[in-house]
Amino acid sequence: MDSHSIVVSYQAQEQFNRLSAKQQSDLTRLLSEDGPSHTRMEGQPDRYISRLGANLRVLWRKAGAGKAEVLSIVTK
Amino acid sequence: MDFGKIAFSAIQAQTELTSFSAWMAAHEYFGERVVLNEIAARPQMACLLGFTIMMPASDLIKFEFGIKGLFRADLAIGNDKSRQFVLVEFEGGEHDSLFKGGTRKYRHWSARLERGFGQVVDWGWAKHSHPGDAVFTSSFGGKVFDDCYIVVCGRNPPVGSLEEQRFDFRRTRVQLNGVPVRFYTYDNMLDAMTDNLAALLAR
Repeated sequence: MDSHSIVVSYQAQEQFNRLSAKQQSDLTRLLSEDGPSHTRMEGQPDRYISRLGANLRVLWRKAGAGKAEVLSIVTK
Repeated sequence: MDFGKIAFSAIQAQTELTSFSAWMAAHEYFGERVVLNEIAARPQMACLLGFTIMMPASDLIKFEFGIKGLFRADLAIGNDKSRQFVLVEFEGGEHDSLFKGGTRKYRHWSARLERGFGQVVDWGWAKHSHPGDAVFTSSFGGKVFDDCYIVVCGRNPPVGSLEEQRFDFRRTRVQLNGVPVRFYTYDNMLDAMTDNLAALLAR
């Protein structure tokens, strides 16, 4: 996946805005890498869950053209 | 404090969201009072809107939340420890709830949407004018550290329409004295709740 290529859905925009600059950077890097840190959601093959730090869960999907679209960021 | 306590359960929220989704599927258009009753009957689902600002799970909830005895929010949810709150105004989900009147080329924003936003402006004024006022803070049980206002109104405009582009701009660019104001259609609200819940339920 192309690096530095995330888009944020409207619904997740406010959540993304509340991340620190470092968290936003970490999230961009995280989603630009394929690997075991992403868990594919059951029954929804284009959607993945990734952990950001100790207590944040990120729902995202592959949006085409090498982009990852962030759908939700929640504190867990 | 005017809030009631709630112990958030993602599993219960999922059950309520599933039934609300079915209700939405069976009702293309609906009035404010009808949909508000449906949402009030599903308090766990309503708490999913709290994740809009990444606050920990809501433990405070109040429908018909009064602000300084003058104003009212249809729904207020919050987390007591983090002192974060989300205030929500629900309008109808009619075909003309977002835009009404005007010409074919330029439709007017509806009075319903403007009324909803007008209430949000009043909430902002109530907080801004005397943020430490005892009447204000007592409603919230203390200070408000972080908040967000949401207006839910109408159904999605036609894809690719001028109305969709105008609504997209409005819903992404409005702040009120530093407090974000989010505009959701009921379709947007359902999507946001569904995505927030999926992230919450993931292991």
